[in-house]
Amino acid sequence: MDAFIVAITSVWTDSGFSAFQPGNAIMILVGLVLLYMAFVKEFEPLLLGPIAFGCVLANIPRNGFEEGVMALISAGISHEIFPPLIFLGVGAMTDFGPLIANPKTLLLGAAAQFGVFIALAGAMVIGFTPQEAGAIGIIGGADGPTSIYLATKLAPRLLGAIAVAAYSYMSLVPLIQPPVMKLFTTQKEREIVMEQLREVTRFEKVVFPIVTTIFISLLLPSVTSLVGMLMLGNLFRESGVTARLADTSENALINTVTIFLATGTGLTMSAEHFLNLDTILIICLGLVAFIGGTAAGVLFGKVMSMVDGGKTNPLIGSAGVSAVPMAARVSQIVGAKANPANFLLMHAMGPNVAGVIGTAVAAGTMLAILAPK
Amino acid sequence: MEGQTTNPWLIMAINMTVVFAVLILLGVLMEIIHMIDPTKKKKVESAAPVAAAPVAAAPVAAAPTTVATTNDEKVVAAIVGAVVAMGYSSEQIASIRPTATSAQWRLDGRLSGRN
Repeated sequence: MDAFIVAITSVWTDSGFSAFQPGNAIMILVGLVLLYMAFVKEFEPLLLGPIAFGCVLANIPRNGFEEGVMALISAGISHEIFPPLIFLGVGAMTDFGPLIANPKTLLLGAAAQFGVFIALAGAMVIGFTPQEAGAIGIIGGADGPTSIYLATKLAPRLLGAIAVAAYSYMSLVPLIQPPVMKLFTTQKEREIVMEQLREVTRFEKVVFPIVTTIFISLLLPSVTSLVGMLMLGNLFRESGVTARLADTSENALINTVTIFLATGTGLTMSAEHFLNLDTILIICLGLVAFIGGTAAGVLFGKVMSMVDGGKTNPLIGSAGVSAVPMAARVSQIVGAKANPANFLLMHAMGPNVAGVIGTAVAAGTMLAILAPK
Repeated sequence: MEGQTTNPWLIMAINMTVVFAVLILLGVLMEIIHMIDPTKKKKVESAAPVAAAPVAAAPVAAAPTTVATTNDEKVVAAIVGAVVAMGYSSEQIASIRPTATSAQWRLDGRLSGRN
């Protein structure tokens, strides 16, 4: 009988139940809510699903994640392996043609980065260190991999909150952006039909990623892995002779890495790291950054429209916040609602991919200015 | 760390300036690439009749100009009809192509576009 009691006691003391804290319960509940949003409401299920499940797993006490595959997944994030691999796939999926055909949309991508710096300034004002503020600000770029990349370098302790805020707001793009877009534009502006883009040659599409990589990497070497992988993926796509590599990058590889990156992000959401005031502040600052970036893009679009005599529909400015291609799709939807004959998708892809480059440049600039030397 | 600024507004101003400057320079590089593009002239010549097609003809007739050799015309007509029914005008339909296709199809499309 004694042996039986000892065995049962041993099972109990080794179990997660004996170490279960109220914080774990709260975070598991958060994970379940996120799972509901991912699988029932279908808010970015491919990302939010694994993040939510990772959150549940991270809050099981004594889970033994210090070693094994979960430790490897966590290392893939902390050693900045996954974000560049995601960028490889994003590059293979992205058509830079609309941007090359209309280079002035680069300015919209730059303007939308204003949200990043609003959040940076706000975070510093409320007491975060400059490094932490930089990592928080990049949420406004609506670029998950870049947010994780910068957070691991500038503010590792805030990684979970920053990643969750970035991906949550990315999934909420269709809900957050339209009211802001409508607030800053008139019906007449939303109805503007843009001219068809010029043809972009294969030469331009192949030379662009090579030149961009060399130029940005020389200027901001700290983001070479991000920009380099983005452009390498795009080169696979555009070269016309590496179809197999492009196919792997844009399908098998990015899907595999997304599972690891998203699950690993969820694993950072343990109660002891996540349940604090900083997390709430980061979530709020992220929303400010996102709204600020959207507003700045639209307002710059209005300026551009005034300068070019009404040829630019300001709605494409909101796509400058990255979130490829969802932000461009939102521009298309809002534009089509104002004028059913309006077809803004390809025009919005210009600022959208400019936003990806702009966010990487913003991250590189912040690393150059703020990273501990 | 010496000399590193902690003024949020100064950091914001520096960052925005750098982002704008880099992207403007990138735009200049794109214009240079476009200017030195040795394939440009050939492309413009071959692109002209394709660009004129949707304006000159009805959408159902125009669309197969780029794909008729590889696709069933009835399928193309059905797709065009569906897109028009969604509220888009015939001028907005320049061509139809599958989004997820084999590399062979893509290569074929690129080669036929070049000729």
